[in-house]
This record gives sequence, C-alpha cells and structure tokens, in this order.
Amino acid sequence: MRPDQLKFVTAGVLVSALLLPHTLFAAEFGVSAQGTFTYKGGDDEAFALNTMNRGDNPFSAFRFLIASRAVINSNTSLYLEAPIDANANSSMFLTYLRPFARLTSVGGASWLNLQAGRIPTVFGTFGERSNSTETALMGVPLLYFYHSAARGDIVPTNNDYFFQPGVRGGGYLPATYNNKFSFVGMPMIYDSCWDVGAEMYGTQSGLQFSLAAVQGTVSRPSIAGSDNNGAKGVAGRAGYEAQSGPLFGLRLGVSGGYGPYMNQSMETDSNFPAGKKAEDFKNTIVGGDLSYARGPWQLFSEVAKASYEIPNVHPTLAVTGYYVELVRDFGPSWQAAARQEALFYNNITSSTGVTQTWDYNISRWEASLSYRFRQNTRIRLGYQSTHVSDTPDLSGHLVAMQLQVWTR
Amino acid sequence: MTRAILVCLLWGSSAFGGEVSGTIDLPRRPAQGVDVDLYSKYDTPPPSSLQKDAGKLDGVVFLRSQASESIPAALPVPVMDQKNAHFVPRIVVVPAGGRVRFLNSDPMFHNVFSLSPIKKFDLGRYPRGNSKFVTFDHPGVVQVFCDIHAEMIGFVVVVDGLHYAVLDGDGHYRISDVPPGNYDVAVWAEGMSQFKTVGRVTVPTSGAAEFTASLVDTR
Repeated sequence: MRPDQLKFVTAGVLVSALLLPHTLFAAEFGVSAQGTFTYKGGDDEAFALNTMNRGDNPFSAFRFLIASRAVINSNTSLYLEAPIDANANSSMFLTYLRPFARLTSVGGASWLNLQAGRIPTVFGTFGERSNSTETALMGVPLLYFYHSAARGDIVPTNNDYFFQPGVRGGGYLPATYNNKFSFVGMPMIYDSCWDVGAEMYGTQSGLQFSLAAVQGTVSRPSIAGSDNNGAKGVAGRAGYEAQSGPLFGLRLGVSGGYGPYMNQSMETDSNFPAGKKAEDFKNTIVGGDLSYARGPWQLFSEVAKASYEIPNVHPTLAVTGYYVELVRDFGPSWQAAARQEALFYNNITSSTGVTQTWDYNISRWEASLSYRFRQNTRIRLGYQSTHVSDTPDLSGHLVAMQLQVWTR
Repeated sequence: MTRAILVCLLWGSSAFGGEVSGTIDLPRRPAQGVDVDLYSKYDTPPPSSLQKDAGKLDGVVFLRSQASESIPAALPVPVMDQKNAHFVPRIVVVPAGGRVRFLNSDPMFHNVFSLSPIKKFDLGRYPRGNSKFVTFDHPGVVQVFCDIHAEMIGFVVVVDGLHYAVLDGDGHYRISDVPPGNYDVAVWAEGMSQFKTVGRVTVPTSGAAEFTASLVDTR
C-alpha cells in the first residue's frame, strides 16, 4: 500500500470518530459498509477512461463505502457516507464525505420530504443505484462521469481552443492553467461528486417529483461545497412509476438542470468578455429516463442533452448521450448484464474554417456475469470496450474480476 | 457456547385432549443498528417502521412424532406477505412437502430469493397483489431475502412434524389438535443453524400437556 493510500485509509478510520457526535443525539443508529476488490487487465487507457476527476475509479484495486444513519426522531435522520478508493486523491478526502439530513413527511404530508447537505444526484435515475452493490455492471455510464473538454476554469480566446492537440479527448486528464491546479473537464452529470444544497421530493400515487437548489450545476457540482460564482443551480426530476396493473414495473421521467458553472475568478482573465459576468454563462441539461422490470428481466435507459455557454466560443457547445442497460437474473445466484452507450458532440468551426466536433464522440459497451454465493457476497467478471472516434490510441479494452462484500 | 436446558414437564388436567403449551425461554435479541439506505429515497419506509424489536429472539417449536404420522392430503399454505418493505410475518412454518405463498402487497417491486442449501429459489419481480408459491421438500431453515431491499429478511422453517407453533414475544406457545402419543420437542431460534431437540412430551388421550424449556445460557 502506498503511503498516500495508507493516509487515505487512516482518514477512513477517522470518519468513524466523526460519526460519534451525532450518535449522542440519535434515538437509533446504524452503520453499513461494503468493500469491493478488483483485479483488472487490459489497456491502461481503458482504465483511465473510467477515472473520476478526484482519481477514484470503479475499477480501482479496492474501494470501501462506509455509511451511517442516525435517527433523530421518526421523521428525521442524519446520514453520512464516506467513499474510500485506492486511487483517489487523498488530499481531497474531506470533499468526499457526504453528510446530509433527511426529513420525511414534512408537516404531516406523506408526499413531501426534504433533504439538505451534500445530497445525492437529483438528475436522472442512475444516482439511485450508483452504489456498486445496486448495479449489475462495474462501470459508471458515460453520461454520469465522462469528462468532456468543456471546463469552467478556462476562458478560451475563440473556437480554436478546441482544435488544439490534447484538448479533445483530454477532458479526464488533470491539467493546470495559469500555473494553478485546475479540475478537469465537465461531464454531463457528475454522480461521483454530490453537490451541496437542499432538495424537496416526494411521491404520490406513482407520481414522483424532485427539485433541488445547489451550489454548482449538474455538470459541475461544487466539490469544495462553496459556491464558485454568485448564483445557484437548480435541478429536478418529474416521473411516474406504475403502482399496479399491466404497467407495473414501468418507470419513466424527465429531468432538467440549469445554472451558472463558471468560476467567478475567470472574470479577471484577459480573454473574459467585457461587460459580462461569470453567472452569464450557463450549463443546461435536459433528459429522460425509462426503465422496466418484470420477472428476471430489468431494463434501464436514459438519454440527455447538456449544453455549455463558453465565453468566445460559438455556437453553444452541446453533447447528447444515452445508455441502454439490460439485466437478466438466472436463479438466485447468477446474473448477466450488458450496457451500450454513447456520447455525441456538436460541431464547431475554427478560425481557419475547419469544422469538427468539439470533443471526440465516444461509445462503449460493457458486459458482466455475476455469481452471488451469499446474500451479501458476490464475484463478477466484467468486460468493457471503449471506442473514441478518430483516435484509435484512446480506445481500449478492459477485463476485470471483482469481489464484493457488504453488510445489510 | 454451552446452553443449559431446563425441562419442566407437567401433566395438564384439562378436559380437552390434544394440546401442548408452555414456554421456550430464548435469549434476548442482540442490539441491532437501524437500517442505512441513502439511495432509495422513494422506497425507504419512515424510520419508525425500521426499528427492530428489542425483545427476545424469534423462534419456533414443533413436535416430532415417535410413531409414523399420516400426512394430510392438504397441508396448510401459510402466507408470507411483503408489506412496507418487510416480510410479514417474519417467520412462517411449514411441514416438509408443504408450500408457502409469497404475496406482494407493496406498491413497489420485491424479488424474493433464497440461497439456503435446502432450497434455492428466485421468484423474480412481480406486481402488487400477486403471489408466487414455493414448495419446501426438505426440513431445515430457509432464509429469504429481497434482492431490492437488502434490509428485508424472513425465515421459512420447514419442520419434520405436523404440529408446530411460532413463539410469541415472551416465548409462549400453544399447539392444538395434537393426536395422543409420544413426541420429541424440537426448537429453532434465530441464529441457530439447525433444530435442537429439547425434550419429550406425551400427549394424553384427553387433557393437555405442558412443556417448558430454556435455551438461555445459565453460566
């Protein structure tokens, strides 16, 4: 174990100490934990194409997820989740902690609930099953993490920025700008980083709604927890889940998000447009989800379109993506799953008249076979193939064997 | 761990035969934490319904006849419901060869499965109001789970006898309509991997028998 990994695990132990104070006020308290251990083979590039911007990766050698819940009263619980990952940047450990409060049946209305703090992803439905024991596949859908070349900490001079070597397809690579550490490019939805804010949500007769105000945006949640500009982002979802009848098992919904994503410090950049403010540049995302389950089958699918208003870049950058996932149980132990997905970027034109997509289109398919030999223990074999258009050197294959153990 | 077994056998004086009653003293349930579920915000029951009983362990008592018993043509079919993301009741008892009906009364999916060696099954997802049946051929304890709600745990206790009861919260039980004869009394409590024979009882032609035992460690 590397020294920084040891530091990271030590920090995980310290989380336990953090849990103690709220047990003092809790009527009840619970802790859950899971461990994921992965042995992988294949291309390094294929592994890197799964990396989040704090270094964590679903194919890391080990990952732990420790969660606690303190029940204050019958309507109020405090949650704290601490993800630990062998490849994560240990110096950012505190930004990984996910504390939030959940109030159910607010004012006696069973359909109205609130949660506030560093809250789970509101947009779409993958966030509800992003806990790795809830998903049949190892990888995270591209929609939910793949870093594009669009950034909130850079002010391009013009469209030519996206024609420079290493910009397209380099969104997931750590970089510096103006000698400062910079976060990498924005994904469409960033499930690895929960944003800080408040959400109201509920369900009644199968109708579901969720509306949140957050510090960042769906594509650029606030890692530090503080606002990076003078305005908030909003995100929400409205959906329907059949409660009975022939449609039981069908779930569908639409999601949206809107807000300024750019760092306010960019206003001092010499390229920043005169008379504009950071809040004038918006990140917008809309999407739809559809899932269906019956018997041993489960189908999950989502589609979304995100856009980024970038200073000095025209037209507005946009990316459209989707995934379709099919899961089949074979008895109580075996499960097979496959996912096909892709992201498509819109065209921009350089000052020399060349027109191309502002990032490389990317497609991926992944399959896995799982065997559960206890209720809380399973092994699985996974294969992932990623194709980045026009750049054979960025495409790759990944094979992995994974052991997962979790408490109830 | 050694468990002392205290057996007290008394002849009853009831005018009605064929009943065995008494108390099986079981250990208290160890403290359990509240369930932690951050992700399923629409499915999570309110915290108050998640609280575990702090009483004694759940358990089952049943009688094994020392003579051959004729198996009735139609065995009772107990129902294990799925309600508010719990198995209700948490324990059902069925004689070997009998069936259990798994009902889904929730407006959401459940997927009952078992990996217990004596009966592995997976019922898949099915709608509210629908049921599926499972036949249990071999005696033993089958732990059932929901694939979607990890906090759901239930037990199907498959007994090699036709006369049984689930213990109440204080360990009391009453088994009626027991034919006269000699029986071994067997017990199962949560946490035990197999049945434990704790004594013998004779059911008179008329009247009732009382049988009491303890599985509490007396050290």
